[in-house]
Amino acid sequence: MSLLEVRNLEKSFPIKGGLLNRTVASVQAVRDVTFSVDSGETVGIIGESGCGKSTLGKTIVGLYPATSGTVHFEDILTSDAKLHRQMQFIFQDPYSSLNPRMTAGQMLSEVIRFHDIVPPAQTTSYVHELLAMVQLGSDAQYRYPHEFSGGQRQRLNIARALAVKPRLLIADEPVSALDVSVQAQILNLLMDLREQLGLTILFISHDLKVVEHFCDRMIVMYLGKVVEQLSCEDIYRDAKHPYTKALLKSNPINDPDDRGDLFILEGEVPSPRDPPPGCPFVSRCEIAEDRCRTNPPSLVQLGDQQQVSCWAVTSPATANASEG
Amino acid sequence: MSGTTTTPRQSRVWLKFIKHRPALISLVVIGIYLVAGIAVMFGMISVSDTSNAYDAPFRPGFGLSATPEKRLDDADWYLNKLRLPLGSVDAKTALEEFPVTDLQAADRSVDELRTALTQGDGLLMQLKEVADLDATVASGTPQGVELLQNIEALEQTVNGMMQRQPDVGGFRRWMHLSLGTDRLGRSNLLRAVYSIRVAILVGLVTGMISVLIGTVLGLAAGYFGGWVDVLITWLYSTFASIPNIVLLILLVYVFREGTLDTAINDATGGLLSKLLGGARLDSTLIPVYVAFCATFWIGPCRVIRGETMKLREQEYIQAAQVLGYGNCRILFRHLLPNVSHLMLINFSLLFIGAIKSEVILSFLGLGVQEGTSWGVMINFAKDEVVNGNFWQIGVATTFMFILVLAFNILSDAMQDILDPKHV
Repeated sequence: MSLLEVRNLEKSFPIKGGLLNRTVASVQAVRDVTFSVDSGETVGIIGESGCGKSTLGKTIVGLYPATSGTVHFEDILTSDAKLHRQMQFIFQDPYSSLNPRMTAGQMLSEVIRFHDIVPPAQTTSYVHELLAMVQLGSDAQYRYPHEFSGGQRQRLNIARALAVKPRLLIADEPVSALDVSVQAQILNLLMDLREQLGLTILFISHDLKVVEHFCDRMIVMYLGKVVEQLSCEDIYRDAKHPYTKALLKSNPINDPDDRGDLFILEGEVPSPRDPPPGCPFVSRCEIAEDRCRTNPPSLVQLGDQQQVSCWAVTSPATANASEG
Repeated sequence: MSGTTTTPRQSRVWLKFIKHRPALISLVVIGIYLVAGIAVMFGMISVSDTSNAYDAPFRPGFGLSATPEKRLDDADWYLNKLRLPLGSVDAKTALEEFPVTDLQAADRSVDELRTALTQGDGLLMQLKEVADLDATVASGTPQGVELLQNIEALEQTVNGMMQRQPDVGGFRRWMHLSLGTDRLGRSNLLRAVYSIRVAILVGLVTGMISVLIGTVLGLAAGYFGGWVDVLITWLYSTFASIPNIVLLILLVYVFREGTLDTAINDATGGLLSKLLGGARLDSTLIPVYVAFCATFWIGPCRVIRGETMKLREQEYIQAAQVLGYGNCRILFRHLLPNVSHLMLINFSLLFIGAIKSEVILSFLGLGVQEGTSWGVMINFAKDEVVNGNFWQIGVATTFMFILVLAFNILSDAMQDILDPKHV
């Protein structure tokens, strides 16, 4: 049984306009996303800006109501149950995700008291414990958010999320707003905590290297859809979908002898307000065919850990036939 | 990183406050006003003090230390006041219908008064012929001493023609005269001090209630959005489209009718008249409160709604939602502290606005019904200012200015002090 089970999740935001404020269109941020996360696993969700990965995370955690589809946490429908102590969220921006009028101590003890996590007498010691867990000194409890650096703020965010002892942590680009050196600290901290607490992490990022380093498995999203799921063991070998390949090629390579021009994906992402009827990637795909424009490919299981949604990969024979 | 500060929050706020000198001074000033206001409420300065209980000359200006020229002018003024009734055919009735309400002729026969008038006129003419009266009296020469005696004789004659109350004298008299009097001889200082009561009541009460209503509605509209927002926006747009002053006048007239009193008394078994001690609603300040609060909450509501809509999208509010906090906790523990600076600004703006509007209402005769207020004083002073007598309007506006300034400085300082980012 998997810990998190997302089935046909869709989320669209209505665009209202006109005299009567009627819904004239909708932004389809997440389209028909299905995946599952096993207990103890770390899954990365990767994709470029605007592909719906943050919306996916926030819909799973219940910040946005899903338009359709379901999210199950251990077979409990999340929309029916209060799972605040099971699932927690780490936000992208360490500056706006902390209340500027509360000290670190007030913030953490509010969570602890609200959820009755430890007996009231032990609140202070639990706050110290949490701060120590994210490698902050206990004097940090008297400080306001603006007195911390970006990395320390993100540690506080992690401490707040972990205060309720959750089993699933959804991290929405937790390191993308930080310096590279601080990114490494936060990632190492998350890895340590994952081991210590047996956390399951859904890691949302646009940084391929971070996901490859940090996750067991990755889900590649494009224009609200999952285009590929694969294991992070050897992504250069396993990647099948042209978009994943393009992402890999656009990454700088750590080898001075192999320095060449970076691959740049041509064209623009289609508007999520009016997505193409066929494959979402068709407008920028190098190997696009006629059927890609009209028929949306579905995710097809390839091997043990991989799913790809691409006609050219999943049924190349037909492609040859139609060309011949 | 200032890593070693371990002072808890409360003491830090106090430290910042004590270090902020303008804030401290403003607080002291406001404290003095409050003490004066409370003194008025406990009757230490009563309505009778705002009338001419000290028999000051019935003309605007300073009455405490008078030059010989001025004493002469005063005497002249009194004599002229009495000349008209004494000169008329039916002098006795004319004296009873004396032109100025508070001033009464002495209880003497008309003939006696007429003799006194002639005597006074004689002395006055004599003294007016002296070329440089002030300098001569000040010189202390035998001639100056004689002139001074003449002036005193003139004043005695005038006093003999007037009904005087026994001189209470001393400190109260000094208070009465120290900042001049208006044209009815009423003390500017005592009236201004007495007005603090109304200013504090109207300013504080309407300011606080309006900010409170505006904040709660603004937070709800901004945070919940949807139909709550539509409803509240509709409500304040509707209120805002009614001309402010017209609504105030309308509400004051509704209270004046007295039907509301009767309705409330009927419904609650006379509770209202018990509460007000038999008085009617429109003799209290309640109509003013209701009229002001009905329109003043719009400003803070609009501003706080906008700010809340901005803050709602901040990630710390989303984080609070993910943590499962209820709406009440998010609204009042997480959003409210972050809009508190707007509350303070709006409160100090409304405080000033209420006092200003009270001036307008009093000008129209709809504001303060009992006692006086700065608005009543400014309204009353407008005839005097034309003749160059600025004492009354000067005193009223100075009292208002100092309070408003102290209030603005304090609320500005409080914003800095309560903002954790401000060291």
